[in-house]
Amino acid sequence: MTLTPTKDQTGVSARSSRSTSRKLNRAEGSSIERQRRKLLIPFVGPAFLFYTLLFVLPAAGAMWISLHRWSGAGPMKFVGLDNYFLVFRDELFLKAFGNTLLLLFVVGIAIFVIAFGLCLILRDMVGKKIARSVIFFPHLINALVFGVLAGFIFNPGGLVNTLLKPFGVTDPPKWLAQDNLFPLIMVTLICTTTGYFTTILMAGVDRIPPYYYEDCALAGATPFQRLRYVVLPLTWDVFGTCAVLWTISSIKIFEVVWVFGGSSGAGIPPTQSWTTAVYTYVTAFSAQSTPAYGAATASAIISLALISVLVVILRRAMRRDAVEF
Amino acid sequence: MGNARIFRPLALLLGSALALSATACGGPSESSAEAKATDITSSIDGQNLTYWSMWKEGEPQQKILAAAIADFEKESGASVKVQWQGRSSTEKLVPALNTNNVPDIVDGAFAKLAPVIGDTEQGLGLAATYDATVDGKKVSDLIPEKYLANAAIDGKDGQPWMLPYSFSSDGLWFNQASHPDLASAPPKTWDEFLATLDALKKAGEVPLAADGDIAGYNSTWFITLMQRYGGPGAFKELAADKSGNAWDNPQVLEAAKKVESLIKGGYIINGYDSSKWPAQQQLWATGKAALLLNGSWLPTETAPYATPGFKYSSFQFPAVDDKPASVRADFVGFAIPKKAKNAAAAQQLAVFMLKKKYQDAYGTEAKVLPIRADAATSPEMASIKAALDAAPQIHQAFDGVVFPGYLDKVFNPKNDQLFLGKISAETFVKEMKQAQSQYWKDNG
Amino acid sequence: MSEDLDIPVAIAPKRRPRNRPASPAMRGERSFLRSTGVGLLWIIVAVSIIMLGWMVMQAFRDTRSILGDPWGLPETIDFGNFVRAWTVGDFAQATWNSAVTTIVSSVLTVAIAAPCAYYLGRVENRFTRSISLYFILGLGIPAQVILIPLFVMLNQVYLTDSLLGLNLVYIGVSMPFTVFLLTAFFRSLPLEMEEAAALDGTTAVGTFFRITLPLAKGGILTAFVLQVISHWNETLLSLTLMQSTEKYTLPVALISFVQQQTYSGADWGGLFAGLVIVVMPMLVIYIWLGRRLTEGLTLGMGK
Repeated sequence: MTLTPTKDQTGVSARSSRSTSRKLNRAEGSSIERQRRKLLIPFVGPAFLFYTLLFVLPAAGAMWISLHRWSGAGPMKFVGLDNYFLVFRDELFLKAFGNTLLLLFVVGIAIFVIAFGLCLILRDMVGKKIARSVIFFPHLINALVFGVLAGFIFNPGGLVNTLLKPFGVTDPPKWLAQDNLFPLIMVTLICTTTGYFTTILMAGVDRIPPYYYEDCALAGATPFQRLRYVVLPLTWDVFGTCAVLWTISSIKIFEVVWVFGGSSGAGIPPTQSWTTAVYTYVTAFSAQSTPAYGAATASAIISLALISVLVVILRRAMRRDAVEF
Repeated sequence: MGNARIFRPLALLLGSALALSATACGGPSESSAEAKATDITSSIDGQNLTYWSMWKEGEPQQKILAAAIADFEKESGASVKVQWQGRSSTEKLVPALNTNNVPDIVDGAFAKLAPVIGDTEQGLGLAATYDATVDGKKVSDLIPEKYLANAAIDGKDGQPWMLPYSFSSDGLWFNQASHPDLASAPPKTWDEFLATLDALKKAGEVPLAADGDIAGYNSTWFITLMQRYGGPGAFKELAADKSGNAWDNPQVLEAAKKVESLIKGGYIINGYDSSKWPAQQQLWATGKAALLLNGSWLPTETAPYATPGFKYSSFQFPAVDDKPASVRADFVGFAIPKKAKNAAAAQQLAVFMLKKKYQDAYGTEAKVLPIRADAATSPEMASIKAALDAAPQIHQAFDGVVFPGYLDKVFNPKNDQLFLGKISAETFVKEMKQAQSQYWKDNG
Repeated sequence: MSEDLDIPVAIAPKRRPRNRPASPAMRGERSFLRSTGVGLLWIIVAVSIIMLGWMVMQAFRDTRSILGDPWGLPETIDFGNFVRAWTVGDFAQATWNSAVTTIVSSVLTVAIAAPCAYYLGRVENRFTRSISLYFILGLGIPAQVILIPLFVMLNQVYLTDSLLGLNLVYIGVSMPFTVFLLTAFFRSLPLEMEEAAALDGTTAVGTFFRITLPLAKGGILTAFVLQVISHWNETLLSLTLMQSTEKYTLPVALISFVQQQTYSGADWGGLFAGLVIVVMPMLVIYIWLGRRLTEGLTLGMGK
């Protein structure tokens, strides 16, 4: 195997060609370049304004609010970091945070293992396009739909139990017991998200020139060796992207939990299945409690901190192993 | 690109972003509510009233309200814009009360409105509403004194912030057609109740159904038991104890043990701890279990799928130690936010709904319990109505506990574990003691 | 750095020979494990399709028969559930709100992001790089962080419970991703045409509108459809910002419908009809633009 690891292989060629053309451009007539620069305000301005006002400012505002005790109306009371302590003392938050970590790592790893497996199968399978299109589709559907469907599928008289009956299962597991909800949510997420990541990984696997496999096979490599020395190193950067993607999206998970299994009398899901996003929403807007905007934003900022730390770690860990081909 | 429609608000938004910290620190700038203690009899012709309803289109109550509103519009000349929000209306009300877009009148159950409107002092004092007349009678005379005594609907200014139009109660429901004996000789004490359960079990029946995923249903057992021991308000007293030491009271453990005995006795239908509402009440309504502890709304809810010929009847939660037993009565009614722009019209609407015509319709068509004592009720409610009339005292759902977050974050999760058989009575009491003292430390 | 360079490949895919037969050396490797995997995969595919079909079928049955036999097929094509969901469940208004919000906010998002992305893609210096980074940072901020401040701010300007406000919010929160995606896309477009136009004396603005935009049709359509999908499905912000029933978007109406079942009895038929209304537009878009979407979504979402 004649693969030489470099830092940032794909970038090099693309970037060098672009800079060549830019040099050319500059030599020929940089008037367009100069004109373009003048477009900064009209072109970048609106996007910048929207983004800053409706995204960055609120994010900064969140930091500010999280330092206060505030019910949304009336005076804000500055309490420093008290909200953070309060949140970390709250059993419900710890449970929600634990659940979010479970999603992040357990579901994440399951998704990646399965997606990678599917990728290897799909790579040169007949009917690959159809299969891939079908497993990708759930990504386009609002997760609410899965939450509601799960309620029907796992209901005592629902799909799963009627399916199991012919096999002599008369005492099926208590699918929708409050403690079983979260594991079920995890399974649901694995089922509905794997297709998306499979498709991304596929794009990485497709990039590998076929003659590598042929070389491998000719050299007598076992399928496992092929995986270890060809596929994994060559798709490593795609894995990195996926890991970052999953980190970000797993922390936002809200919809599927909110309605999982159908309605509950309280209008909010049982506390055993909360994620941090649910915790934030309930703490701020549940009708059962006086809104605690400070604690709610504090819990959201903790999620943000978690994302930041993980993304930095991931990028550090994934960066060095990209391989040129 | 140059879209003025977009950019003007955007500029405003920039201003508001800068203003955010300023207004937030500058203290409340709410318009003074006292000024609105209006003469509610004034003409409201031409006014536009917004009403957020807890009912959804198609529900029996909604149909009555809609008809009444149509009459109201005709008589008063005001127009009412109704939003049939459904039961999540209070969830929508919480954020809305912090905005400029506040409905003029809302309705809901006491337990839902209290934390949102009552305790936060966002509700308008309705003394003038209670003084108004409907069908030639004073509003305050139409609502039985017994119900108002324990209602806790008075705000800090001494005025009630809620005007009920109906109420709900509860009981142990059964099918009188298949269990006539339960109607003629219902168990009166806890021991008799257990004996009844045993007898049912022996007869090959499932004694009790329960939708274990609804925390509010699960907690009714423990809370009512506490009320049986200490009278109405006993649970509220327990919950209000900041040290948590009140949980050391042996009666508390005794109540928890009684709940535990139901689970350990195997009286409750298989799968109650793993289903999704309304699966278990469906089973009950089709005769797969004999009893169900539930609210007065149960006949309405289960009628569509109940066994043909199902005859609804109920007996009251059994007494403990021969103490006088209270009956539950939760108000469902109107409240008017202080920020409401058409408070006078809103109050007129609330009063209008108390006309006998509509109250009778609540009783006979929607089959709920109308607030007026002289209104008609349906046969399904007969057993509950009799119990209410005979009851010496009234108690409320959750015993009137509306401390923010206490039920949903502290009590209900632990009580669920007790009721679903995951922790013992002792553990429940021990953990509640600890959790409650922490709760009051954080929220005191 | 390597991810964003993948994107051009994704949006303007190089035609690569796909499904080429495996070489002789590899053909011998079809192991038992592999065929099991293939079998499993097809089962997953079949189950997915069956579930979708099942959901649509149930939407035509009434609650009693759904509960009685969850595997049954509708006896007649009865649109009663849809009618009920449409009227009682407020789905009519909600669908309209969702459709308008989705289209308006997606069009504006792309209209605002495209020039910005063009500039950031074409003018490369330290300043534009930091602006790009500034946009990219937003990709990592989950919506729950900005939820409360956004609510407070919008309220100050009477934009809560307002579809206009929701549109603005959607545009704002979509900026990072759209700018990011389109920047990479503009970079991938050849410069030659623009240079030729410049030599002909066309202004930079003219070049952008007359030369680059037509070239970029594909990428812009992808960006647009991706926004359509994400705005159609957006739940958390809309759940928080909208309070009046007549302003509900479809996901919020669906939640309200689900919660309502607690009180007015389970209406599974109506619920399935609601689910179908939520899912169908996505299915149509997917069938219409499937390939472009997968590529945009999979490789476009970077960082």
